[in-house]
Amino acid sequence: MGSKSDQEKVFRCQAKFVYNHGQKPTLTFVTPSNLSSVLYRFYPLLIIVDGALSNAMWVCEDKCLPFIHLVMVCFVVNLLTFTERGAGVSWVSLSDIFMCWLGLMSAFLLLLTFAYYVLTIYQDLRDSEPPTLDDIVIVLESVLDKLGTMRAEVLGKALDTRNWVNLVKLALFFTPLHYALMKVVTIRTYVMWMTILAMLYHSTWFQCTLKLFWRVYAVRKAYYTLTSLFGDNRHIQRSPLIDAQTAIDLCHSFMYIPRTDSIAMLRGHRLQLHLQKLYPWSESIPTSSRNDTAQPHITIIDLTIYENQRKWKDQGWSSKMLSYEKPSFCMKIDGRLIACKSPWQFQEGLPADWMWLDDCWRPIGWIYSDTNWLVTGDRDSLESFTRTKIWKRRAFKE
Amino acid sequence: MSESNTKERETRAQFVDQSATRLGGDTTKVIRSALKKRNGQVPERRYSDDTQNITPVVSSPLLTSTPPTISKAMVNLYPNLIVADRFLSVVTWTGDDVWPSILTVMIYTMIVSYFENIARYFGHLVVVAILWGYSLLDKHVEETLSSQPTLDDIVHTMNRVITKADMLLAPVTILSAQDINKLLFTTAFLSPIYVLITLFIMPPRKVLLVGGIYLLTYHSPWSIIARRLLWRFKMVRLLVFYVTGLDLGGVNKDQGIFAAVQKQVKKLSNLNDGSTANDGKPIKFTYVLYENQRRWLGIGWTSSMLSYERAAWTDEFLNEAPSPENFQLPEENSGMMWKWVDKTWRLDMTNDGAIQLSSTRPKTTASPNADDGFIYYDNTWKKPSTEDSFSKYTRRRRWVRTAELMRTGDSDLIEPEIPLETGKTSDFSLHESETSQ
Amino acid sequence: MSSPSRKRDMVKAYFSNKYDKVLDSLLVADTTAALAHGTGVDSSTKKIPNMDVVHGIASSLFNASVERLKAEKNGWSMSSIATESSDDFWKDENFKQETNTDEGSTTMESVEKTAVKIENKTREHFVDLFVEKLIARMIPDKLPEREHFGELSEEERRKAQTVSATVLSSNLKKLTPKMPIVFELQDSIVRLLTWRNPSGTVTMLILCTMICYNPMYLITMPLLYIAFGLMVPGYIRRHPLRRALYPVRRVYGRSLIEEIADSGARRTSGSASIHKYSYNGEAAESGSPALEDPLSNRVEFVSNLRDFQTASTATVQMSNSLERFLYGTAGFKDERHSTVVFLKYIFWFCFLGAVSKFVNWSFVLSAWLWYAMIKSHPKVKKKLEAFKTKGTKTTEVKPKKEGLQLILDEPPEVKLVEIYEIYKQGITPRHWDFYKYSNQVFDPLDKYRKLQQPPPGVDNLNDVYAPSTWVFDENSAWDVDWNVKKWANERGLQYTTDGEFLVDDMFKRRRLTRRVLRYANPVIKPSYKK
Repeated sequence: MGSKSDQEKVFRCQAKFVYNHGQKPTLTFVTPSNLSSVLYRFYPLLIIVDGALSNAMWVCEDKCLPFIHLVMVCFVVNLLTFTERGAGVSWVSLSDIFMCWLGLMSAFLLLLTFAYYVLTIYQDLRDSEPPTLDDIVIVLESVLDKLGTMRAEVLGKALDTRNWVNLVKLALFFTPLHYALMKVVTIRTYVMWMTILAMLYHSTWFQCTLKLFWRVYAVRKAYYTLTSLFGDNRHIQRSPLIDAQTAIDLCHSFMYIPRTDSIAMLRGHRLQLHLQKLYPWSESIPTSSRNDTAQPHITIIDLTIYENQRKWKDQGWSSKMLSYEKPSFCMKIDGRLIACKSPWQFQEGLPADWMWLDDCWRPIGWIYSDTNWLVTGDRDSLESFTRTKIWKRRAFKE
Repeated sequence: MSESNTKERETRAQFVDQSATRLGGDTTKVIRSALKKRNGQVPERRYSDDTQNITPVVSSPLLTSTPPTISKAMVNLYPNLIVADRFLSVVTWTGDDVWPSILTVMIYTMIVSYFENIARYFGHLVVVAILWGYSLLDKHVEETLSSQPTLDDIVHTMNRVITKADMLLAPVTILSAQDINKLLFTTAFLSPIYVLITLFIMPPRKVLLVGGIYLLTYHSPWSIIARRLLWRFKMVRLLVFYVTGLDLGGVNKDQGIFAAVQKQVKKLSNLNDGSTANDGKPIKFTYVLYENQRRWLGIGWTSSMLSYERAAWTDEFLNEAPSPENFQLPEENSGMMWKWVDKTWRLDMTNDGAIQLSSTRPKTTASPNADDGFIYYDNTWKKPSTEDSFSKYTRRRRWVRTAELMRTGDSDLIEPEIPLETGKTSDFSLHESETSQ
Repeated sequence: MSSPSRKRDMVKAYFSNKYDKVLDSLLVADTTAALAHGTGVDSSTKKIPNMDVVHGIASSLFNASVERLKAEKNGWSMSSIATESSDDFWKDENFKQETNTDEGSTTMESVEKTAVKIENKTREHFVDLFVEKLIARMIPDKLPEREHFGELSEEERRKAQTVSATVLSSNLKKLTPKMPIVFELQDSIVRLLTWRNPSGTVTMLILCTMICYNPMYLITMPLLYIAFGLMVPGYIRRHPLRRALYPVRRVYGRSLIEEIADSGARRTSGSASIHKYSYNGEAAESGSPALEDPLSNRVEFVSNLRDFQTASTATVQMSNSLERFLYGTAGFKDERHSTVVFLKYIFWFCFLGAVSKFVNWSFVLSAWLWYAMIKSHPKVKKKLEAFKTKGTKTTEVKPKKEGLQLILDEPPEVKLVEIYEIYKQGITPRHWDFYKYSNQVFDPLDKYRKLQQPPPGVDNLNDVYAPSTWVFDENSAWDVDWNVKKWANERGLQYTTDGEFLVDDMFKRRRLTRRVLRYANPVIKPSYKK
């Protein structure tokens, strides 16, 4: 009766992930001994640092412990920012006494916790099985990784903090904010909130919040306007949109062809056809850029318009660009990007004495790049969010 | 006519971790585009650049014999080691100059005393200072890398860091856990007195100042001398006993734990010339072997494995290893040698923590039964379980043996212990030989 | 030629119409019969005889099949039934490459799949129809409606009223996998309260203290939890932060806080799975499809049952004690105890009302919380026990406390009871024999007299009992009610009176009354306990 319908699943062969922790062979065997010995003595310190860092980054398994530490630090800060009481004050409220006691106990407890932790590490190392070198190396790599992550999270990408001028500007920028803040809040609140912020900074929650805020367009705009105070290396002129006349005026790189006999007599359209035959698109024009005004010459200019597009979630690729980045059509003149009209509007505005050499705009295909305009490749992929197309056309003047 | 047999096989490419260096090679091409990026080039995509010919580490015999993972990690660690070294030398007063330490103390005093004014006017500079600090760190990282250290340099710095850190933590590690508990209870008991002191006599800011200065100058020579002098007085010792609840060295004896600590610390600081000395602490490592077995129908559990599988005796990474009888310690020639501590290979009954044992049973035995300590898997070494069942076809267990690194020519490893009234030793060994048979 | 076919079509249409009419009439007849049958059942006997059940099932089946036939005739396609669209919700728009390959499967398979789906749907629909008809037979009236929030349309109202077996069973199937979650939540709460998760308990105490001091946290903390406890992990799962976390084989070092707060009972992992750590990444492999282990399913099922049993036992006990309070203490069953309780409540109300303005409730609440939790810590409990056993050895047993002095002396309820002393006419009209003491008047229209049976009663006045829960007044005796006209008129009896007797042809009777007392009405019991 017909083939029985079994559960035939289409077999999909999926490749497996590569983990890079596999090491071959066991390190204890292979490492020279003085290195092993020094790593062995370094091991407790590595464990201490690793524990402290995972506590600071809220990475440890039990998330309640860093929270308790945070609360205790708040108590200590609270105690320390007590307004000074002279010896003459007789009445202290009960709550003050209690907060004082809490602060003291928290301070002691924190110190003792750290001491106990160090102690038990040494004790555990004494009592348990001796480690293998792989264990030590894993902890070492873990510490380095955590340090690197912390550094990356603090520095961020945009601000170049190595330039001391930038830092001075940052300080100056913060100053009025700080003064305004100081008028409103007390020192105690300020210090408390700064401490809490510092302790929570490296937690995943905070970093994710930052990332989620980064999705908001207003935040990015504000960020880029801020960083533009610190010297934007991209000077983008947005308006007015230039047309051909202005472009030609601004441009300095003309190419000059001396009028040889073969083309001396030609004019207008026929000159164009002849030039097209002489200098096809694929070849560059062998000329000298010196302007020999003595000889009659033809001036040729190579106009390049960059068309930029961005990939949006709902609409796909469209010419709508963010307000702080490149405009949808621009030209690069003297290292600056100047917004211009689209090529088809551009070509309308060609001055009278110029004629187009090529019949139409020649495109060079799309180059895809990611959201910060770093090039990713020639093809659309998941990581490309912007793309650029270059339109070239030559014009000549007799 | 099964048309549905058109099985589409999709082949999906694997992930490549871009931070992996070439495994198994001798060269250490590490820290990929970091250097390139810093040269201010056009920011291109960060691909792992294997064509970089700049090796941040100069070749040396130590380097060539070190596995690349370790050398890469050490090179990454090196800048942090230098920073740690500088910091520790300031805190433990063992630097070449005392002036940085004194300067630190003075800055600390100033900050604590004038904290309010500083916070009010210069609070925003903290963030700027942090950023500046990180950028300094970056620059420093670059500098140290471009100075092309040898692995010996790194080892040397590491030794210095270890000595200083041990010195710094000496007062802490000399205590025991019960001492900490005692200290805690005494503090809790005496806390009302502390509260009264804080409220009326000395405000907390001053306490912080005094305490901070004490901690910062703990290892300074003057502080050491002062403490030794004060310790001579019985009143001082009694006071310390009542405040901390710890019998820190006997009320009647001359020598106390502090004296022992100071002695130890002095010895350590004498070794600060950076020798890779063992200074008496035995260094032990564990060698691990896994015994694998497979169940054949009709025969039972044997050590014969399938040809494409792991071997009968493997290490932790499933590489083939010699069996316990043939296992030889590595040869060393640089003044140290390996020596077995355990007489034989011992079976780890907990199989690396997977099997729960009652606390009374020993964790390792030298003569186990034939079926002890195994973890059972199915035919493809998955689904671990502690119980054998009809679907389990493979099993493995863990053998350990401890070996010790010692200097050749050293017959006297264990230094004379200073007996104290409390029965504590000041022996700083991280290991005591507990593996007694 | 088209006309024969057209004729054929016409004939077909005619006969199918006839057929439809016959079916309709059958349906109508059947339903009316069912209704008549339903209303004809005697209201006193609620049981439905077995034959009726069989009849009911048979006709339900018949009805259901007829309706289905009709539906098919009308060309109503079964596939228009709305299917659960929950599968579409979980399809991820980011992973189109996974779903695109499914579309590449052969058309044969897709046709088979849709055929199977349609078959399932028709089966479900048939079952629904059947159940509906069955219920309509058993309970011909409409079910009592429940309140709804808004106005429902006709369609929604009908859907809300019908009992559908498929919906019920699918709901149950969907809910049973969710039960372990509830029990695990219960587990974690118990763990928190018994200090088995010490740092968690301390955190909980800190949070409760914060709430006590600022009740707005009750609203902001759930917001925080949803944002950071639920959504951020979801975000991280989709876009990991690229932090490489290194698994540590052995954890060194302990925290002092854990040591102090540790209860000594480490929680053990519930499942039998082993934490297998290896330096290789193969531990996390999931290439092969997961085999359904029927054994683990069974274990899960039985453990679900057991947990459900525990939970229901606890609920039963809780409702029992609640009932005991409602009907016992609140019902003044034990007068003394209830009075004391009532007075206590009134006292606390007044006291708190007066004092609450002056007390720092945040502090009191949080202090009480901390105290309660610390007291229940195992180590502290042990120490307290030791202390207490030391203490009780020395002090002798204190005398029982007197408590509040209560005087329960409310006047009882007083009522009059009547009994009729009936005399039968003897041989002569003047001779009357004593017949009976009865609570019936035994007049000629009395039902016992009509049946020519003696009325219920006793021969001796002392055998007459007061009504249940009433007691005869010790200080009263049976009095004759001399006002015969009054009580005769009250009962509408027009017979001759003779002194205190009401006489009819065969019997004469007189009414005796006595006072009965009762201290309290009986306690009401919950409705199902009768």
